[in-house]
Amino acid sequence: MFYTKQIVLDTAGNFSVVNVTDQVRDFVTSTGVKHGQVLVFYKHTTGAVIIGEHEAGIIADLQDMFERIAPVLHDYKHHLKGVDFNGHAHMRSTLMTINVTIPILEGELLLGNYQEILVIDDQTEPAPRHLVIQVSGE
Amino acid sequence: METIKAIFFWLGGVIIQPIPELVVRELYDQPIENIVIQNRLYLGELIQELYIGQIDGRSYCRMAVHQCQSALEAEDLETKITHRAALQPLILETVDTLPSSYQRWLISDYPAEWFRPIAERLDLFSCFQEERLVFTSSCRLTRLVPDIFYHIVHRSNQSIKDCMIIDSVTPRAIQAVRHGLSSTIFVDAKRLKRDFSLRKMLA
Repeated sequence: MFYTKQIVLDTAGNFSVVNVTDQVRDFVTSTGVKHGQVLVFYKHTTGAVIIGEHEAGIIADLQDMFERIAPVLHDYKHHLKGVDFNGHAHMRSTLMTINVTIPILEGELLLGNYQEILVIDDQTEPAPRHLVIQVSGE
Repeated sequence: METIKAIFFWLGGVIIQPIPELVVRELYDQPIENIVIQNRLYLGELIQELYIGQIDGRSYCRMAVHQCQSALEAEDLETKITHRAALQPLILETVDTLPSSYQRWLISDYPAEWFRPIAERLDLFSCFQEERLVFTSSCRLTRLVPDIFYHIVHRSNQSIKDCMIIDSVTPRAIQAVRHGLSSTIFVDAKRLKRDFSLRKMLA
């Protein structure tokens, strides 16, 4: 069986990090699926879903790393389009993952001790961000 | 190596619910992500004014009620906030696991007139001393972040590297680290206790 839910996240953008682990866990529980997997998919091109530790120092380091690789201030060709100026966010998004899959066993997410499901929204302005959670299994 | 001497807990989001969560629940009875974007942005900016004391609690409620076209009166919203604020599960017990050698501070982003009845009802002074209470609205801050970090470090009379802040707001927790404090992103009391343990802060 497949169970799908879409949620809207309230973020300020600009590398906002939202921990959605509990929301994913709650949805998995509500489906009653005992064995299977859950897909968490980000429906945008300026952010990511990652598995990581929700720790301030790690996130600061991650921001610093991306600032070195794809700085906010740079002449991105994307900006020539004149619609928006978020070239850095698109570049960073391609370097991360826009979906993660977590196994489910006995109705529980098989995450490690420090693993959490984090959504990173790097859009330059606050906007509704959409996330798909899809559980498959039995 | 960390030598933490003072630990600062945000009231909103760590000890009790954040103000916006209570307000949105009373005004809309649904999660904030379901609210129209204009009102979300408005409430997001308005709360910053409350935090740094540019407006008082009553004015905040009046403006929030007006913007959201709620049938509630501002006075009713204030009453509901102070009556419905509730402790995060197991939070005071977790704070109490810290050895007394740590200075425990409480940063109240709730205005004083809301804090007093809440603190009495929830017995917050069993866990925090009145002289180690900071109201963000009374600090004469130009902006909440990063000014509040330097204010609390000064108040505690500790070195910035010896101060730790517990915050549920991820960007603020990251800013704290960038300004030289230790910080922990609060998710729940269990995870906080694990963090204290990992840092070898528990007796």
